[in-house]
Amino acid sequence: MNRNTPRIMVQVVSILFLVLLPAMESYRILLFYLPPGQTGLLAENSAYLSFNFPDYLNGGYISWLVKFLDYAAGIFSLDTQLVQDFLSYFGGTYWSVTLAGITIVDPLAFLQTLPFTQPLPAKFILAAGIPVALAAILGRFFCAWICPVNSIFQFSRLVFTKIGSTPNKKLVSGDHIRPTLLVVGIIAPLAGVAIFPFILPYLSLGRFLYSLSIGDFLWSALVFIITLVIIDTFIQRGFWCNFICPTGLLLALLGKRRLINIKYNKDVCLGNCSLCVKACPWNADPKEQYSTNCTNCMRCIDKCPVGALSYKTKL
Amino acid sequence: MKISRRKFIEIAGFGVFFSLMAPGALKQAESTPLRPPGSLHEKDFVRKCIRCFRCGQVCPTRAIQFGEWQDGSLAETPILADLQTNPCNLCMECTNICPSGAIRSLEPTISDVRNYVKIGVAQIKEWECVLINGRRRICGFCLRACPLMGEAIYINEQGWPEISSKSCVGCGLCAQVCPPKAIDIRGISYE
Repeated sequence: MNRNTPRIMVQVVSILFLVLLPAMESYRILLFYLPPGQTGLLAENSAYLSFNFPDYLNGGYISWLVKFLDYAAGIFSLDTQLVQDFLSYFGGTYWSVTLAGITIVDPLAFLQTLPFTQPLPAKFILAAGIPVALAAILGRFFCAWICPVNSIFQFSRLVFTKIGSTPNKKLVSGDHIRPTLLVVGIIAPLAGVAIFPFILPYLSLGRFLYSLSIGDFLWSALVFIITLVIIDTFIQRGFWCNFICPTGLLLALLGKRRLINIKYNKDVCLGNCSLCVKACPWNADPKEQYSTNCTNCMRCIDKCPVGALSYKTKL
Repeated sequence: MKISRRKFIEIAGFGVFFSLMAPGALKQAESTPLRPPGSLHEKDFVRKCIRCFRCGQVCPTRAIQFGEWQDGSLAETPILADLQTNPCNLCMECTNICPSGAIRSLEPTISDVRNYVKIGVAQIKEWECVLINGRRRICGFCLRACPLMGEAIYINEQGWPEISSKSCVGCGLCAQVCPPKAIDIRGISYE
């Protein structure tokens, strides 16, 4: 039990949600077709499946998960309507997600709709305000703690570093693509062009899982993510997260004066060991007061041999 | 600010790559597609839709499908592509789920609700309709399927079905049941 354990637990839960949510939506729609009071019979009674159900129940992990969800729902309640109401509190991907009835929208999605001509609804501003407020407190925590694509990167690094891959080439030389992309993506909707939803890999992953839930298979999203994982593991570490991802830059700017931060004690520090800098996968400098790229992942705190780094809250 | 050659090549390269991935940059759509009930007008809709797929996820009849990459600026936006097989049953789930207000939710203050949720207008292809062309003249499926029965579709004095373009909301329920598939849903232009 070290400092990495809570982060890894949050990452596992976030991936679990990403996989479960499309199945929950599928099951909710399936309940429209089931007679009332008939939850929990799907796995046993295969005659249901031969009934004129939509195609999305015919294969893949979704059908398996839908059966599991039906079994789980049958334990609690047989009332179709009640289960449906409960499931309506969950849905979406990390671009726009509803968890326990609270809708959260990515701040990039909010910025993308700014050249509006009609007034924005209050619920949209509120939904985009939640991550902004969280970023002001926790900084760029989304990247290290929640982003499912970063979890995949991290797992792939863990596996392939043991085999002996040394990603030391430079595809991107500096941090100049992130700001360009952020500015262009905010201006482009004036011409009716949306950029962010198509290029963000965590959204592509959600879209891929959604496509499975309607009996489709979105190759392009899968190829995109696998390419990024290969580049990240074998060519340049942190290729997407540190140099291209506009979400990371936006959250970093919002959390510039974050309340929870890594504290560096100069008096205790050995001065030239730099283990913390080597441990940081985020291109940040733990010895800086408010490092822009820091995600509060707390890897550096564990690495420090003399305990010069700690996290402090300014609440 | 001085931009070195390497920086310029990197920015240009990623610009080309991302504009390929975001197809709206390359091609604007020519035709206006059918949008979910309560949608904004097309120009505002494309700007305000955040492409989050929530409306397609909650649609119980899977009437809401999504544009393909080759559709240009319509890519990943909700389109009622095939109302003849997947009609909209006007459950209004999508209007409640849309986070950005591209599909406006129904407020009780709205007076002209039918115009508000208008998707399109049904159109009967007269050369295929059983009642207009058939000898025995027993059909009337469309009449019974219509949620605005007798108002949006009615039987005129010749005994033929006729669609009132004012009342019809274009849900496609009549198109689904029509045996010879003689009903099409046509989009409405606002200009």
